Amino acid sequence: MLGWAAGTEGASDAKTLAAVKEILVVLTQTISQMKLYPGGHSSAAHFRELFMDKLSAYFRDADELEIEILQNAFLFEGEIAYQDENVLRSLPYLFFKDGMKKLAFLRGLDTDEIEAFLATVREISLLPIDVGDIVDALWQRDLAHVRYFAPDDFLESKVTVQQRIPSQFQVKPEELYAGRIDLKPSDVAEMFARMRSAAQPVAQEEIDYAARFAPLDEAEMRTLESTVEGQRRIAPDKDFLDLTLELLNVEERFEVFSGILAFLKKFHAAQLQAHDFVHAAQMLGQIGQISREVEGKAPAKANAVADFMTDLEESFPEKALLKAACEKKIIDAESFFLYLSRVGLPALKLGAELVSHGPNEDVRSRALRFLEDMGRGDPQALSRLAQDSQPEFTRIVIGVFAKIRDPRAIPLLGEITGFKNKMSRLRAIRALAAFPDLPAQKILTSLLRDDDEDIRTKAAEAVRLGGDPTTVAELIQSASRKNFLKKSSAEKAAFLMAIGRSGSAQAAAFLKTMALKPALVERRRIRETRLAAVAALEAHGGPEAIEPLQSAARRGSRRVKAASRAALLRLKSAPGEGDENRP
Amino acid sequence: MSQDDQKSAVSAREAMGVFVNFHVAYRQARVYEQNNVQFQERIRLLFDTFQKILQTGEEVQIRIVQDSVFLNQIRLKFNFSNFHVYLFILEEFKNWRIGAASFLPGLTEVEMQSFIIFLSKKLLPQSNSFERLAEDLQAAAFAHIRLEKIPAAEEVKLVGQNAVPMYFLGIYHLKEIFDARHGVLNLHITKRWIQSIVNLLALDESILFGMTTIKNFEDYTLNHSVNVCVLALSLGRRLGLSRRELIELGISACLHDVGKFEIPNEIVDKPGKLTSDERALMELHPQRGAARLLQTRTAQDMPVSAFVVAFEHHLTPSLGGYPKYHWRRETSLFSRIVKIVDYYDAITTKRVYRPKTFTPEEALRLMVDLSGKEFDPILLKAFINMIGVYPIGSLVVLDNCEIGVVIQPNANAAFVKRPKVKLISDTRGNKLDGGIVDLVEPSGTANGFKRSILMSLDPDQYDIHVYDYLLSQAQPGAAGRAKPEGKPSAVRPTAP
Ligand SMILES: [Fe+2]
Ligand SMILES: [Fe+2]
Repeated sequence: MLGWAAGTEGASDAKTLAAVKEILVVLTQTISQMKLYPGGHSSAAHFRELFMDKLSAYFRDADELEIEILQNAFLFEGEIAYQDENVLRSLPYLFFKDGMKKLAFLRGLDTDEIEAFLATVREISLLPIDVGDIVDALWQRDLAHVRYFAPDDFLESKVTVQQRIPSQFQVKPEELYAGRIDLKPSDVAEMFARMRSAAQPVAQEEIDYAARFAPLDEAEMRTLESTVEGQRRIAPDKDFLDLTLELLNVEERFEVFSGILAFLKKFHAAQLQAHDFVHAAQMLGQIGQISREVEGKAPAKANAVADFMTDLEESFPEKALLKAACEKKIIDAESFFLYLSRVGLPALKLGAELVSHGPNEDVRSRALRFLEDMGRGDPQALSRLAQDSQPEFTRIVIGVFAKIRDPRAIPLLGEITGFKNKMSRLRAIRALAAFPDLPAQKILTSLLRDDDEDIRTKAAEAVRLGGDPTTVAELIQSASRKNFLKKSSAEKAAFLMAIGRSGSAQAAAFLKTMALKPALVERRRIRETRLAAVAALEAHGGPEAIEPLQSAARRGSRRVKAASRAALLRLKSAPGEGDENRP
Repeated sequence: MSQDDQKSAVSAREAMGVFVNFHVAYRQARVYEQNNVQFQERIRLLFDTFQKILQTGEEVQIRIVQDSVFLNQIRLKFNFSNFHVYLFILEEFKNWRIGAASFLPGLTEVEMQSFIIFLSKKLLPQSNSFERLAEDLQAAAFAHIRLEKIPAAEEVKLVGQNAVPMYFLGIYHLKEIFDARHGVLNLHITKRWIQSIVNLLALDESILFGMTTIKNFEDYTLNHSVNVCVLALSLGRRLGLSRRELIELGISACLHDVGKFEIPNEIVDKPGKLTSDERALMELHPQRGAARLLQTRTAQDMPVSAFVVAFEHHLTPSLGGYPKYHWRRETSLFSRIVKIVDYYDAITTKRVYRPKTFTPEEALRLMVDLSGKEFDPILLKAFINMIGVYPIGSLVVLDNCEIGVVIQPNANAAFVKRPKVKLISDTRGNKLDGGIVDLVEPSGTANGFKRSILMSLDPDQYDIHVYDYLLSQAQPGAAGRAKPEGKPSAVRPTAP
């Protein structure tokens, strides 16, 4: 006959005792190996397997293994089966201190359960003695084939109990059943009313009411079960943060409010350390909302929130996060960048670093998008990244400005054109070219007089002078000077093109003279200038440019004639206004 | 339990099927003739699964160990939909002191069927139930069925007498932790206490349910918190919560009103209506509680649900009530559980400011009226299914004018109005130490039942302390509670 607590007959023989002793020795060895080495270590695994083998062998002849627990020993069938003189550090004491009197393994114990059991014991034995509770831990594990006995008197010893059962609740049975119960007239009346109504057909209201007491139907049970499942899917961290923020939102006592903020600060640091950016981002978002709500209404709270934010900015772990990101330790890139966008300005530099040094294309492009978003919000702030000594950041900033085309970026790009770094200046000029706005053109125009030839050239290539006759006139004037010819081919071409693009009659007339300029001296320079003027006329493209081109085609040098003819042909075949085939 | 699945001829799912079919067949055997089609169908289903195991040469063994039910070596996990099956099997086995029932290879369908009919129709004797059953079984010569008695060590626990001191210990313990106002809450002991309560609930829910009729002992909020905890754990068990989840639910329930200790006593205990300022202050207790728990949070011990429940336990499903949420869109499951049991315990408690105390029946009627608006309707239904329309501790008048105290709800949700009642007066109002009657007992006449509840009474009106009757059932010396007292014929739970 089976029976777990009744003891198995014939188990007390010496052979069984020896087997149990071995099992317990291996158990203690396994636990100490597991304490020394992490999970997968071979030595711990070896002992674990040995323990399992010995247990399986034991269960070939027995249904259960029950051991009694003393302070420093395990007993089997009343005999000492394991003993450790070092009481406080012994395995028996680990069980004993939490009030466990008996521990039993039942046949049917499988590998998973043994692993869970050993892991639990290991976990508790690593905790300080007054923190871990093996009984609690095993109870919560709820292993089907591990049983223990820990009587409630342990608990009674831990609580100041005035009386086990308070005297007013000590029942005296003889008093319970003496005397009478005489119903009050109101109850009697109610009773008769109910008796009468019991004999009558039941009112609809009563039927509806009764239905609400009915057992749950299939659908309701399914709903209930899925509610339970749904609850299990909620991450405790999320739940905790949600609630703390709700609490912060309703808390009206200032000290508590700032206490919660202080708590959240620590929580936030821990989240960052754990690379949990979902919650960190959520927290910043909601605190931001609170901040807007308390502003003006509760100055003390508003200050506290502002301090919180400043602290956060000052302690923003830029380097650590960059390292983590580059070492691919940040798994959830989406939340990470959401977090950075909530952090805002202090994260700009990190964002820029990631644009250049991000570990993969995904991170790099997310980082760029982050900077673009930041730039859209506050171009001024983004531009702070752009510094003369940081050409790479400057390049990124210029790229963002070129992409977002926000007029607020124009003066910021203008500042960059004043940098010493030439590459940065040239990039800024190229970016400004994309802005049709007058301020951008003003900046470019001013650069036409720069000391650096490349800058002048690029500015001339970029500038559009359509609405600026004064500058066109100035340019014509400077191009008419003798020393114009001495400028590089590229600069000359760029200036003449700028004049041509202005599209004015004055420009066309000037370019005609340039195309037909006689070449008495400096033949090579004049030759290239003539051709540049023809190209500029073509760029002009207006009706005023046709006659000069036709003249050049007739009267110009051999090369000018050819270039002008080709230009005229292209201009005629180019779709113009009034063209039938316009899209 | 993948390991179990590999080792056994049946899966955990099939094993559950065995219990469900066993339960249904057992109940049907009481009411139907042997040749009833439904009964026969059920027997076939059951026997098919038995066969599957027996053919491998293994026996089929149903065993109870403490509060667990095993089929061979598979332990069954129960949830809401089959919790009554679990309670039923546990109770039947414990009543008969059966530790295990084994069906051996060679078993025939006829033998199995006869055994189920035999056991289901048998009346529980006053004493030595297992020995009597074993004798009769031998006489009936079931060759392939073997029963084992519950081991002595297990039997001691059946009495459940620890429930009474354990209940009070909870109140003393909460007093200790709440007195340590600004210290760190050490929940170590709380957890162990909750474990004991869950263990006791598994042995016998009705004693602890009965204890929750005790109110205002030591301090309203302490006693109330223990009651809320007991009822919440019990509902949580039915929902199939794991032990870890039960611990969390228990702690949350114990601490749900911790914020009340931050509200001046003059307001908490003020007789009469609160002014609007006082009410506003009172309604701060959920957020005060949550803030306190946050301040005293000890990293390991405090489950997140404790904050959540402290904050949410006065919120309705649509987030009405107080305090107000800004971002969250729903309340947690634990909060919804606590909300229901909290409300129930509060309105059935006499307070200086509450001129009328509701009887349990009236309380449930009110709560049903507020279902959906104030409470999660499905959870409320589950709660009522659990405690019955006449919860334990209800003082009731029966339709034959006997008066009694409800001592055990009906495990079958179809009979929520038919609990077990301890009779305390005869039909003329003379008090007596009557037996325990099961209201599902049929009358033999067409209308169905021998006794029904007519109405419940307010015990205070009659100066009756219902818990005395409940405690007298639970305390040492009381006869086995689920056993008949003097009238064996009156107690067999029998379907109409
Ligand atoms: Fe409350
Ligand atoms: Fe409450």
